[in-house]
Amino acid sequence: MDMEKTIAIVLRAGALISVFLFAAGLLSGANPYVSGLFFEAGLFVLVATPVTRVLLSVLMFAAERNALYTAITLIVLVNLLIAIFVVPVLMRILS
Amino acid sequence: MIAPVYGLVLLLVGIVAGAVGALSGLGGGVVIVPVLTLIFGVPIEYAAGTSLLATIATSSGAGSAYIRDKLTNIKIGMSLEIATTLGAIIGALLAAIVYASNFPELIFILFGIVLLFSAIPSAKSLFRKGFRSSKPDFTTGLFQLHGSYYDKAARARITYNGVRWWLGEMVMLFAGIVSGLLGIGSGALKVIGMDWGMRLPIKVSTATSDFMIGVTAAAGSAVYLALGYVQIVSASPVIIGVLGGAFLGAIIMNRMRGNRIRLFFIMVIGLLALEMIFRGFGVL
Repeated sequence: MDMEKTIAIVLRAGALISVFLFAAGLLSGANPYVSGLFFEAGLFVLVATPVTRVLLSVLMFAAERNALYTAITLIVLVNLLIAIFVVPVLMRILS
Repeated sequence: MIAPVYGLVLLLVGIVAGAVGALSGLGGGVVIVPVLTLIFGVPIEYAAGTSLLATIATSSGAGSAYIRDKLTNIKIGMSLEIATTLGAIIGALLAAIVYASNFPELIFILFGIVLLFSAIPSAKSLFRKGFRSSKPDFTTGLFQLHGSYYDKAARARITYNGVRWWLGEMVMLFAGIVSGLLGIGSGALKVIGMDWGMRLPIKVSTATSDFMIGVTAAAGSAVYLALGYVQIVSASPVIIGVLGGAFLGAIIMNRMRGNRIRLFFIMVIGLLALEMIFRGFGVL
């Protein structure tokens, strides 16, 4: 599988899907419950897109047997997950 | 609900920010934050929250276009993201401490000054004739930092070697800290790290920075989302506009001359620096 092509497709798809969800949220503004769901989904796809991109590159470097870059992308993935799931909790404790 | 006219104006702000962001590798926060705070009276932390989300959209949009054009160096981007994500974590924790104290202004002024200084190396290289690939060093081979791309403006294939990986990594750590602390993509510093630090062609630096800022912004945005600094109804039109602008900017970029991009980039950096300093003195 072509790594560059796959990553480009994932990024583009993620950006477009999240933007469509945000647009749907705006257009369904009359119904707060429905628009809220669209916004939540849009945010999830938006933030998940770069995470998916990193996860994909871990798998692809592993498939290429590129040990150094598998390790590098794995570190990036762990950092990203810490930033998303651990740091907000730490910040609440600190502030 | 949102007033249609206000929504359209926000959409327009997004389009301009997206195009500027894609062309400079910055992500558009430079335009979004001052316009939202100055013209629309949005509180700064909400403007920064919107700017971070828009940065992810720019990165995904422009990032994918540059990968297709083979401008982005994925290996260089990924290896530098070790430092940017780590920096973003440190920066976010520092932000919590700074905002708990009463003197966040000092930080803004300091970063404004640092940014002004960081425009100097790029301004200097405005007078460098063309791009000449550096001799590979120890890190070029170890981290596989070479590549090539077809430059549409010069109508030639440019082959390059990335050097001084450690210097790039150090600049990226700083860029990550700034990103986490101030809620911006800090693409300016990323371009400096690759253009000046690792001696990469400006188009490769810009494209790879656009590729990287999404991951950095995603790391920072979680904190803003958790603290509730995102007003999603007014952020949405900005994010939609930014993606459109980013696609537009990406189409223009590969047709422009390297030096023009650099000049444009220096101007944007200057604007960003002044914005920070003014904000620090309470003018913004």
